[in-house]
Amino acid sequence: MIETLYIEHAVYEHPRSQAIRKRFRHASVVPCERYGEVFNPKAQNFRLQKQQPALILAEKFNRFVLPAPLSYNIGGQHNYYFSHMLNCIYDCRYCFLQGMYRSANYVLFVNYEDFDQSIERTTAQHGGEQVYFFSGYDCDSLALEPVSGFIEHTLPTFRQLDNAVIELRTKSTQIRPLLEVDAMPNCVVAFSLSPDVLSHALEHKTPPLSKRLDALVKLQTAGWPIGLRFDPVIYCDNYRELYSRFFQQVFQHIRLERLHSVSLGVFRMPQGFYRNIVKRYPDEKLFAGPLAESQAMVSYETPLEAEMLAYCRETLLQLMPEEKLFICHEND
Amino acid sequence: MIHIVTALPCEAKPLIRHYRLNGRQAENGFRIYENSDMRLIVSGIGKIAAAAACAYLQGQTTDRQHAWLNVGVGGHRSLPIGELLLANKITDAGNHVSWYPPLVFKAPCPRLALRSVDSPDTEYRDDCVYEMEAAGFYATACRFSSMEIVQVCKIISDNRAHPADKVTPPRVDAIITARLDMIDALIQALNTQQALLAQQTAPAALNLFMEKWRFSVSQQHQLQRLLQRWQARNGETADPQMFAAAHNGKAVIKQLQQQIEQHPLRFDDAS
Repeated sequence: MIETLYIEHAVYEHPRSQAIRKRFRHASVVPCERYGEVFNPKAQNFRLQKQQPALILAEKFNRFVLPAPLSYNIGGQHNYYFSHMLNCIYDCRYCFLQGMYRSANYVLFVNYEDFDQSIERTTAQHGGEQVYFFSGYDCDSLALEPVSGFIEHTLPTFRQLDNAVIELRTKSTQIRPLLEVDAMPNCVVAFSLSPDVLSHALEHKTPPLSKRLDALVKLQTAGWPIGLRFDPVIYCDNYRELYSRFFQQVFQHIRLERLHSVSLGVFRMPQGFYRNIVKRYPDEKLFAGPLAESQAMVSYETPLEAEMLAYCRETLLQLMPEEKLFICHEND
Repeated sequence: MIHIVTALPCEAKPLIRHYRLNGRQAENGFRIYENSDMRLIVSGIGKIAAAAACAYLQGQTTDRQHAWLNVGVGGHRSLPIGELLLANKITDAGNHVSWYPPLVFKAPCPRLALRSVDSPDTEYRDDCVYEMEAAGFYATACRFSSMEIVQVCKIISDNRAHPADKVTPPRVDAIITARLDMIDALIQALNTQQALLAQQTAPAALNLFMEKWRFSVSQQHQLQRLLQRWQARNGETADPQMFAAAHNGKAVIKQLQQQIEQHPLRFDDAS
């Protein structure tokens, strides 16, 4: 899986680095000063690297916890995100990560304890008010868990923080570390889901919808609060038929009392990232659709976007209560 | 097209023979050998010479994003003579700047760090290959191509048991000849990656349209993107004959836009 392991000198002997080295014994190990030497050079091609990404082990020094974008919320007033990892093992064509970084290599920050401290400090700043933390912003929360062990490490921190909620956003079926511990009411496991046809066409290297639903059901049965993320909704001529059938299929598996939240948003992306992605994947059908640029964002033409949101919202509200549905819109 | 840089004629000879490269007449300062798929330049010793050779070779063509490979010999304290290694890190011993060639294909040989030194090093203090060109080659070739298709391979010619002053041109020729199968595998892999990269550049139909109509620079960008969208939605390239009635570039762009919007957009097999 990992053919090259770059390790910063500062964390070369770190126990997590040593454990990961043992896991990838066959990998070529290359020491570096700072991860940016490998991750940031200009003359790189994300698409070529995505064929065989390397893993970079690094130390993060600051900005462990950051305010979440306004549209990134599931009902809380205080929303933050953190990224123990940059980049994702999946290859979803609509993901902004495909246009954000020059490199497709994965960066894993191994100083987890510094994240814990920052989470605790941020939570304390808000007194007793509820604070939401999103972990699946610059990576999938669970996909590399067997290697990183980050979630296994960090859940005990949240278990002690009554007024902190963590969202694990994932397309992964790596749920064993969750099933091995007691469910936590303040940990929402949110599955990103798309209709099978779209998943097959656009979400490369991800588990199929049926497997994700299986994982979801297991967690739901074990008592974990479940989130559903229908974001991005993708336009195609038959989107109504696809999404209508898909929502029905998903909600057949959902116990509404276990459902924490559902979020819904149509495909949208900052203009700069979009231009990078189109250069990398000019032959991608997704980008040949009825997209328009507006206010530094690219999304579907406004009337179409409104129509898609309205249709999906209406369809979902036949299956779930309105108070659990959150619409993600970049102009929020 | 792959560009190969070697420092010495004796490093180049096995490749010239194997790939049947023809020498060009009367070059200014560098000897270049080529066939339809490959250009090889003999740079001379040292990183400045290697950098100059890369720039000279690139100047021979208007195309960008060629694959590049630096082939040569180097020393290591203990590795056996004749072992071929692909660089996973290149450090300029003069200024300590490092480059990390990304590996996006299965390496046909082991990988190791290289150190580009300014004069021959016979102490072999660290576990790396000591050589004299890679830093100049890599820094320069990466100005013209993406790092994934710029690679350096070195064959061990000397070690503590077999010092560098005993290395002769026939010996270099022999050890490179013995590794031509691995070098060839590397070249094939680089060609494959270069072809993948080419898919990210202008669509094939662009030139056909530009030969038939005049487009301003801004219209050329529009046209390029429209032809990509056409191909993405139709699964085939646009045929200029379909727009034969258009009087100018502006009309072609308008018709392309209209027709793309009329194409069905589905992600299942019915598309």
